[in-house]
Amino acid sequence: MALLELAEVSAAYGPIQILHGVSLHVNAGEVVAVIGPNGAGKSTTFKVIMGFINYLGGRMTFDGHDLVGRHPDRILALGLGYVPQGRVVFTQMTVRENLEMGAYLERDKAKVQAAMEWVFALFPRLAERLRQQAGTMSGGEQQMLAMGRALMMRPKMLMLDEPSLGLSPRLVDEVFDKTVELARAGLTVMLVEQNAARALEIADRGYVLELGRNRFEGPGRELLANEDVRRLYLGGGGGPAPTT
Amino acid sequence: MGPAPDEVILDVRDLRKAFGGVKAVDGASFAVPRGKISGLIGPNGSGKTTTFNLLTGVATPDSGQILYKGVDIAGLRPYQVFARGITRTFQITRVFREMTVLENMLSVTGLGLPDRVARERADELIAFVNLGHLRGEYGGRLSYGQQKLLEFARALMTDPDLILLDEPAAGVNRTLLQELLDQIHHLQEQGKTILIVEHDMNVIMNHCERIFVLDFGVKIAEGPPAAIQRDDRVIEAYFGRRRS
Amino acid sequence: MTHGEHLRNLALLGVCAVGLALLPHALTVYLRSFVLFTMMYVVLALSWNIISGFTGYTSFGHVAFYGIGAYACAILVADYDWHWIPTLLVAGAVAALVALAIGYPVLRLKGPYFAIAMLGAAEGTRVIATVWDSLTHGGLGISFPNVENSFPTYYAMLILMLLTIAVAYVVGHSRFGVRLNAIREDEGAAEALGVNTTVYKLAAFVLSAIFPAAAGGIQAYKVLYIDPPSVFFVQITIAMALMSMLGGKGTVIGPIVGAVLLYTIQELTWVNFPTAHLIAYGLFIIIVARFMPRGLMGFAIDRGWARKGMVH
Repeated sequence: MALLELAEVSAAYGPIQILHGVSLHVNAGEVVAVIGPNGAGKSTTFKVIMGFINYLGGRMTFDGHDLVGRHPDRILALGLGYVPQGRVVFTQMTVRENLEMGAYLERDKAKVQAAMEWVFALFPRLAERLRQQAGTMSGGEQQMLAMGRALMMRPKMLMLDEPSLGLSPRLVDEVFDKTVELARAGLTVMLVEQNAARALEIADRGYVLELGRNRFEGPGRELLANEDVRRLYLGGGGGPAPTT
Repeated sequence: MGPAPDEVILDVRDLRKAFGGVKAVDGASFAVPRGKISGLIGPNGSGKTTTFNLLTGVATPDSGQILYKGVDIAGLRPYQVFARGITRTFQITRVFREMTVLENMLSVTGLGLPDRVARERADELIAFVNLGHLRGEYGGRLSYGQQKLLEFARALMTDPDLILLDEPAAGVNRTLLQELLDQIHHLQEQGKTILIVEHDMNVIMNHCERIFVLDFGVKIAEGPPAAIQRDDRVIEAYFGRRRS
Repeated sequence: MTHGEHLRNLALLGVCAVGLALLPHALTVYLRSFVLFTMMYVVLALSWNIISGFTGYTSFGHVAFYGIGAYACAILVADYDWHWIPTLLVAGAVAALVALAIGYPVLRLKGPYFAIAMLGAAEGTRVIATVWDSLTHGGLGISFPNVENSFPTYYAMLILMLLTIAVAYVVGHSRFGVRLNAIREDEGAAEALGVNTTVYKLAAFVLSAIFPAAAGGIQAYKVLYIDPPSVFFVQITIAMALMSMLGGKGTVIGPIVGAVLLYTIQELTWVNFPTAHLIAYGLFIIIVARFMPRGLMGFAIDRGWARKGMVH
C-alpha cells in the first residue's frame, strides 16, 4: 500500500479551479518528483494535501488515514512534514526557536531535544548558528533551516515545495545533496520542482502535470530522457489557436 | 534575424536593475517590432516581471534605455508612460470596484475629447467587449472574466499604439481566453503593437509572431515560436540543466 | 446625468436657497443659530468628503483648516481693523497655502498613516496658535468688538454653503471627480491610466481646505471670541467625518443629508440629555459602521432608489 495516495483529486483557489482530477502515489522510501510547466498545479497539489485550499473532490490518504477535511495540524501529527515554497522561516526568531516551533505539537521535551540533536547531525551548519536570527542567514541556510524545522516532528514523509527557488546553482546542489542524504537515511520524499532536470535526477519516480492534469509518469531516468516531457514546457502540447 | 530598424516601436537597450545585491535585470536588450504581436517569456526569476515594471514606469532602471518611437522613456512615471501612448493591463485585474463600468472607462486621461464624445467612445468599447448590459454596474460586482474584459477595454480608450499585456491568460477560462485573443488579433490587424508577458506557453506559441526569452536578467533567445521551441538554451532555462 | 437632471438639481438648489434666505426672519435667535451651524456642518462635511470620500485619503485633522480660518478672521478684524468679509477670502487663501505646504509630504502616506499625520497636523496648528502669542494672543484668545451679527453671519454661511455645494457637485459629476475616485479605488491602476496622482491629490486637498477655513472665519465672527481649544476642537473633525460617512461618503447628497441629520440629532440629544449625548453619539457611530458602512446613500443605492455611480 502506498504511503501517500491521491486519486482523482480536484482543487481550487477560491473560484479558480487548478487541479482537475490528479492522481499520484508515493511508496515508503521513495523519492518522487512532481514537475510541470508554470500553472501545472504542482504547488497546489501540496496545498490541497495539507488542507490549505478548497478541496473539490477525489480521495487523499496518508498512511491509511483519510486526509480530506483534516486540519493542517492534524495532518502534521500523522507524520507528514511540509516545507513550503520560499524559505519560510520565522525571521525574528533564532535557529533554535524556529526548530522548537517545528516541534510545536510534541509535548514530550525529551523527544523534542532528541529531534533537535538529529536535525543538528543532519545539518551541522544549523548547530553552529543556534542563536542566530533566522532573518540574517543566507538563502541556502534558511532553506536548510526550513527543512530542519519540518523534520523536527520526525515525519514519515517530507514534502518539499520548490526547494531550488531563488537559490544559486551551488546552493541548489547542496539542497539536493541533502535531500538525497535524507532519502538514503530512509525518509520518504516528495518534491515539487521547477528545475525539472535536477528533480528527476534524484527521483525514483516522477509525475508530470500540465494545467492541473496528469500528463506523464514513470521512473525519473525515463522522464529525463523523454523528449515529449521537455517539449511540454514550451507549449508543444496544443491549446487555443488563433481563429483569425 | 531581427526586424528592419524602422519597424521597431520599442527598443530596449542594455537595461539594468538590481535590488539590494540581486541583479534582477542584467543587460537586457530587445527590439519589439511595430504592428505585430510579440511575447516576452522566461522562467521564474528570469527578470521578466522586473523588465515589465521598467517598461511601464513602475520601477526605474539603474541604467539602459527604453526607446519608444525613438524617444527614451526610461524612468518616466506610469502616468507619463501612458501619456506617450503605451497602455498596460494587470495580471490580477485592477478595475475600480466601487465605480461603474462607464466610470472605469472615463477615468482614463489624455483623451482630449469633450464629455459627450468621450462617453460615446466608452460606450463603443464597452459594446466591443460585450459588457453593454453592465454599463451602470459597479466594477466590483462583475465576474472575474468580465473584469478582465473591462480592464482590457479601459486600456483601449486612448487608442494606444503599444499595448502591454501582463499575463492575460492568468485565471481565465478557455472560452474567455479565446475571446480575448480574438480581440488581440483584431487590434493587431488595426495596426497596433502588442507585447504579451505570459507563462502560458500555448498562448505565446500560438499567437505571437516574435518571442523574446529572458533568463538571469538577459535575453537568451529571440525568434518565431518554432525556433524558440527548438532552442536548447530556452529548453534548458525552463526544464533545468542536469548537474554538471 | 443628463442635462435635464442637472437643471433639475439646480432648480432644487435654487428653491432651497430661496427658502433658507427667507427663513431667518421667521426664526428666533436660537433657531437662527441652529440653522447657521447646520449649514456650517454641511460645508465641513462636503469639504471633508472631497479629500476623504472622493479621493480616499481619510483626514483626521481637517479641523486645522477650520481653526486657521477662524484665526485669520479674528486677527485681521481685532488687531488690524479689517472688515470681516474680506478676511474670509484671506482665510481661504491661507488655508490653501498651508494645504499645499503640508499636503505635498503628507499625501505620500497611505491610509492610516495619512489619517494620523493629519491628526498631528491639527494638533500642531493648535499648539502653534497657543504658542505664537504675538500673533494669536495665545491662550488668552481673541475677542471681537461686540456687534449684532446674527443676520449677516447667517447669510454669509448660506452663501458659503451654496458655493461649497456647487463646487462639490461639479467635482463629483465631472471626469476630475471620476479620477479622484479612481485614486481612492486603486492608486496604482489610476497612475497606469495617466492620472498624475500627486497633482490630483494636492488639488483635492487644497480644495477641501478652503471652505472649512471660511466657515471657521464666519463662526469666529459669530461667537465673537475664539481661543485655541475651542477652534481646534477634535470633535469637529469627528463630526465632519461622521456626517460624511453617515450620509454616504463619495457622493454629493450624502454629506449634506448626513450633516443635517446628525447635527439635528446632536442638538436634540444635547438639549435633552446633556450628559448622555456623547454616549448617544458613540452608539450612532457603531450603528452606522456596522449596518450602513456605505451610509444612507449606499443604502439607497442598494435598494435601487438611487443610481450607481456619479457619471452616467
